[in-house]
Amino acid sequence: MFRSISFAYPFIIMVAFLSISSTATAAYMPSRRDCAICHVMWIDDFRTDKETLIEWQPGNVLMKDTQGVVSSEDICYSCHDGYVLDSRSTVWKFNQHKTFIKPTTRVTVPPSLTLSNKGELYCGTCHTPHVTGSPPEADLAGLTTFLRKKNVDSNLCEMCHINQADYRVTNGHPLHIMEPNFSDSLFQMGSKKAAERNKIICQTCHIVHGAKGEKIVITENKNSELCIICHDKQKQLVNSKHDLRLTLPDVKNAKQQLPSESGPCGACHAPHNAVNKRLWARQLAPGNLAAQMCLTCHGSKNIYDIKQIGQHSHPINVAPSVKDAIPHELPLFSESAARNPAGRIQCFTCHEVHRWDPSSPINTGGKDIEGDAATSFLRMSNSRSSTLCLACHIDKKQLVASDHNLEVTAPDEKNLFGFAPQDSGPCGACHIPHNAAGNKLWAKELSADKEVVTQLCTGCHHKDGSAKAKLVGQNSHPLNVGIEKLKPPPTDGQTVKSLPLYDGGGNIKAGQKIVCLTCHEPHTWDPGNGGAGSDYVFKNMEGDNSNSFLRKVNSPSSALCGSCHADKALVAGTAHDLNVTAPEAKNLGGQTVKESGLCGTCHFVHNSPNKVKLWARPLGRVKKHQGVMDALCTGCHSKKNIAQKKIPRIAWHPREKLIINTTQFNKKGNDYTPLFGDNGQEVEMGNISCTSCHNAHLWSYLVGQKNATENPEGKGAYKFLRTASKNTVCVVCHGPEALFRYLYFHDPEMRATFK
Amino acid sequence: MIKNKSIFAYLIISLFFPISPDLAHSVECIRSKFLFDIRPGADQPSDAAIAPNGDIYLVDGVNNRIMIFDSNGRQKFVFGTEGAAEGEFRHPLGIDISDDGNVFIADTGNHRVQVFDLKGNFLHLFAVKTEPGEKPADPVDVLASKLKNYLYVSDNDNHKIKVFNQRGNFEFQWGKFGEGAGEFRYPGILASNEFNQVFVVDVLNTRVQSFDPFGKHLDDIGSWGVLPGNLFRPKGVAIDKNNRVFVSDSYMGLIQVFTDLGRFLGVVCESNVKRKFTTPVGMVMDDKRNRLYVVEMRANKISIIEILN
Repeated sequence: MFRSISFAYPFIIMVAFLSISSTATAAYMPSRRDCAICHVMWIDDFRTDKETLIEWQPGNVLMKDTQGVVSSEDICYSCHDGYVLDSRSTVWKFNQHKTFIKPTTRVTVPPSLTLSNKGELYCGTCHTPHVTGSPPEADLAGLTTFLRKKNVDSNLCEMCHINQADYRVTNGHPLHIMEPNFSDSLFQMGSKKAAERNKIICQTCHIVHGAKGEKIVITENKNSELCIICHDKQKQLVNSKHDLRLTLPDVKNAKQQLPSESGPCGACHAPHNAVNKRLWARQLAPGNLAAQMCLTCHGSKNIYDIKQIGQHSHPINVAPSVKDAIPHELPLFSESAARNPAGRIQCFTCHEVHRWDPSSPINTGGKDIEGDAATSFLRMSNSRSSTLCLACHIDKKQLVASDHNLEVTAPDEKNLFGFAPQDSGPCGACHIPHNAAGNKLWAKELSADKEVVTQLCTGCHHKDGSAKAKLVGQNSHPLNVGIEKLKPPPTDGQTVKSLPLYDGGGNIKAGQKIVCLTCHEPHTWDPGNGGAGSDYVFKNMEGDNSNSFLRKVNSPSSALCGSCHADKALVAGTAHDLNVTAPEAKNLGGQTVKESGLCGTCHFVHNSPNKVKLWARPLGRVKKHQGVMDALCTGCHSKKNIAQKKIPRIAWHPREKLIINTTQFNKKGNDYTPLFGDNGQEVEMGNISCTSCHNAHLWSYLVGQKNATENPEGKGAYKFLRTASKNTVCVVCHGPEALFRYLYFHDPEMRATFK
Repeated sequence: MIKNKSIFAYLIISLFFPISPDLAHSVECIRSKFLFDIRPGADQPSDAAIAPNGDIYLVDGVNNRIMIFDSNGRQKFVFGTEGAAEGEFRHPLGIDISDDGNVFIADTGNHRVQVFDLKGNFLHLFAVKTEPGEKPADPVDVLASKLKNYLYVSDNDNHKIKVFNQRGNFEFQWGKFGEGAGEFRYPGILASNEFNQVFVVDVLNTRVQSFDPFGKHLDDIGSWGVLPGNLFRPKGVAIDKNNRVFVSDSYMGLIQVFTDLGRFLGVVCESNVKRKFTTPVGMVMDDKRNRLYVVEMRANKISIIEILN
């Protein structure tokens, strides 16, 4: 339009105009020129018909809030090239905020930050030399960034990047929290300080101009250089197996980046818009986050050729049984993988996934390095003393100072993975947390033809095993039997008075069987000193009924035996309690009652020389008409033996007269009279023996309960009799003569009367 | 004064001829011929100088180094790295080479001048001192004069020309912020002619000022505007053996030619068309080869052209 104007004005007018303007120009020119320093299209030269050196660009000069030549990059650069201000390195050498593109849907540009007439971001979106916003004054060096709004704590950034600012919702890196590890190097690299030095803001990581990294981060981050400035402890991940550049180089993260593109941190974490908490940037299988962050790769369904945890693995997402005792080095986590003292055991409780070797920050392992109990991203070394396991399983600590520490007693015994105890640690000799052979995280081969629960012990305690010196012998307490015969039957569910019952797989279950582990706790040598832990002195000692990995101290009280055999425990305090009547008498093992325990005076649990009742005392001599059960009694009730004062002068029943004891009696009734075979087993037809009428463990059928404080002397109808004679099986055969016959055969004086 | 005379002449002529587009001013051309480019892999290079043997020294300031090429554009060597120690740079901008072969570098970010031999061996350095109340020195160019071994330094942020001897001893200075004669708004690249006159690009005053060797103002070259002979962002200045003053304009992308008294001669053209450059800044005239080396900052190259008239 201006170019079409013809200057056909009268000369006089021109002269008059110039004469006026010649003085006015001097004052007017500088201010006009100052505007046109940037607003080049405002220069009057474009309004003449003269050929200008550059083209006039119409249409966008005076339009408010639109980008024209004035905001073009060339105008900015024409001063910022070093000859007015040097922004070459700051702005143009490296990366800078995108301009001359339309904002994406992830960005919301408020009306106060203008877009160009094309709806694009441009320099003027954030900057204006007219300083409507910040900073009103230049800094100490006289510099001003001419931002439209003050950018204190990156609030200008957050005006558009709302999603990133709302990091809690969008799974982004936390903002506006204090980071104690800010180093000066971060600021030297271009990070901007918040009003409070250590507060995390957008500009902690990002720099709008002169960013050396992609996504305008302050430095190159291909190797996660930026991340590890603050996350210093995590840098030990680099070159470890968890550096996915080494182990999964072809697998992309959720942002569709290869590890080589994302860097080692970025392979699993994204600072913005992650797929879940913890900035997680990989695909997640269904389930709680804390577990799936690991299991998505290491679970049984993963598609990668990497370590899996196997079918038998340490439980996760479970509450610790001894929460208060768990050291702070082994943190608990919520399901969202946040540290939480009230949380649960997760993979991260034992594993620090960013550090291969807890003992050496420079040992990063490597792609092909096999882990062991000292490495494997564990939070603390678990070899030698199994420190990691025992940090939680403090009730198992006593194992280290016992014969079950194979490092001492079987140093060559290797576990499933071929590790000797000194490498696996004492726990690892029998248990491995992942890829175990079976239940109990068992670390030894298991045979399919035997029950697992049995093999847990017989794996070593067999004739060719490392514990061949400690076998149970042929005559041993029955195993894999139920508790139906126990009197009275247990009522506390899974255990018999805290002694657990097991199924074949080794699981504690109600109504199941008695196994080795019912009586033995293989981690605790001395149940009376269960809290001993590391100060327990290893002695490699020979056990007795007070230790020997028993669940309960069994001497002198025989509390262990009494847990199941409650009806037999009534013997305590009676004449058959040798604590009372023969404290110095020794059993076949040379133990006094104090050493053997009350039950142990007469019974061996293992390695008994006698199959019958696992008898632990010398058998007495028996006459022709007597059976093996009588020999148990006559071992003591005979001349020169401890019960020589209690020898019946006459006590026999014709052996040829067999008796049937089940036809008219309820086997569970109080008046049932047991008969015993040659091996001491109960039979339905046989001969009477001492134990048919006497219950050696019960002083009086009337009392029905023990009286441990008394040493009852046999009187009248008591004398360990099972029941009143009038109701016995004797009456069945002998009818009214029963009493006469009884007295005849048991009372010499009465026999004399009858004579 | 010259400007007023031109306007007066224009008005007299206007009395006799109706003003029409047909008589509009047409751009005079200074003919040139493109020879070749040097694309050295630099990042926003700013200035160049010619050694006595014809080698080209280029300031690759963002990369904190000096790149050396032979006259055919083949790279010979580089020297310098980022830092503040001897031989290290922080975003240098300007360069000049004295007749005796000393290479002077305006080490801008380090607020100093460094001196090297032609092989890049460090010789010495000196700080560009400032006075109380001044900003930190911002030396953007150096000019080694034959007269008294003066070394002129343009202190951009302080709007002064500071003169040292070539050992680094301060001699004198002139200039202040302003638009008058001898005042500056961001003085930049320097050049001299055979009379040791000093030509200073006065960036935001959109002119080149000439001075005698002692700082006495002589002339203004170029003026505000976008017409031929006007300047918008003058950056570089070079003077040929005929005392023609070549001025580059980084925004307009042109090189205009003036007499040393400021009379506009024309725009550097090629094939009678204005030759466009990409942000032309520092220039150096190789009179022996009749070449003009033009550093194109954002194109990251040196254009070598021959001036034909």
